[in-house]
Amino acid sequence: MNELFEAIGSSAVGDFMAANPYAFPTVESLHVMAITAVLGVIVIVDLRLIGLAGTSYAITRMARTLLPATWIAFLIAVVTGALLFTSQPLTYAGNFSFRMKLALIAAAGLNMMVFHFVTMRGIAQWDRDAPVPFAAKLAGGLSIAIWLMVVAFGRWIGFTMSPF
Amino acid sequence: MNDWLEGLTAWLETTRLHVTVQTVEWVVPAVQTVHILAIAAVFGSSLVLALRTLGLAGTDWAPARWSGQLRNWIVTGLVVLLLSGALLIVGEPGRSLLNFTYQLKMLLLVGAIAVLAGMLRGMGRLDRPELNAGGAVRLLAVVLILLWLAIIACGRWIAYS
Repeated sequence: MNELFEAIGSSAVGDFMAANPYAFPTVESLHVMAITAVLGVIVIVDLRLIGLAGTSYAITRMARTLLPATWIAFLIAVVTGALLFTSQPLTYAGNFSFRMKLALIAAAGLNMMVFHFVTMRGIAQWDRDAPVPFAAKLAGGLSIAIWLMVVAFGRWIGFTMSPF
Repeated sequence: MNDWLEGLTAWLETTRLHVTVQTVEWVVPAVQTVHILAIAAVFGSSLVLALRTLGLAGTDWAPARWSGQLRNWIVTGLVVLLLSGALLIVGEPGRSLLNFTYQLKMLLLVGAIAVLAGMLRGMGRLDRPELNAGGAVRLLAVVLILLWLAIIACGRWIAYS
């Protein structure tokens, strides 16, 4: 694994990300734009899922209309995040906050899959103008909590290792 | 203007709050995290409103319904942004107040708030789902997103300039 990280770090991309003084802040700015878009839109969908707002908008319709933009933003966050990683692969890989951030993103994915494949089975009964079952509220609450922590650990990465 | 900002910077550096932010290690990253979370609320909501204005998402609801639903959320986010931002300034007044990128960010922020107010007004008049925004409101929506992107970029670059 360490050999792979060293190879990434000494690759042309890794070298560029570490050596060019504009590369890191520029990609980091794009990363912040993408992750704030992901979090901001997902929280709106989650608040609907919990039943705290907009219960007249069908959950399935809101997910279909808002999630494509969220996925595009998430993809940008992944690509820019990977580029930031290449600047110092070994240091990131050993950083506690970085590891927590990746684990939390995996947890968010798992939470989403459980909701999609299990909880959503009976959604026809509570899609619109109806009380949402506890499992759906839990999925929405977990999603908000996990994404807040993703942002927090992301910010902590920058404070627990030198920027370059 | 710069003399005044330098005076303010010198005074802020003598405050007890400045010393606290400087010396308690976790304060700066914690406040920055809150700042980013608030940006997410403001930027994400603006994005949804812009997509609705352009007819690209959320068309089950009238534009007025969306703006009514998200307006308070955005205003709350802006208040949290101003408070957390103010605390970061007290912590490092020299690196922010006298920094060109910071000054540009504040200028863009004033513009964004004006554009946001205009867009919300325009959306508020469209109270049926089948109604779509005219060219002016659509333009405001696009400009608003570009302004937020520029503001986020400036915010990140303050740390490097």
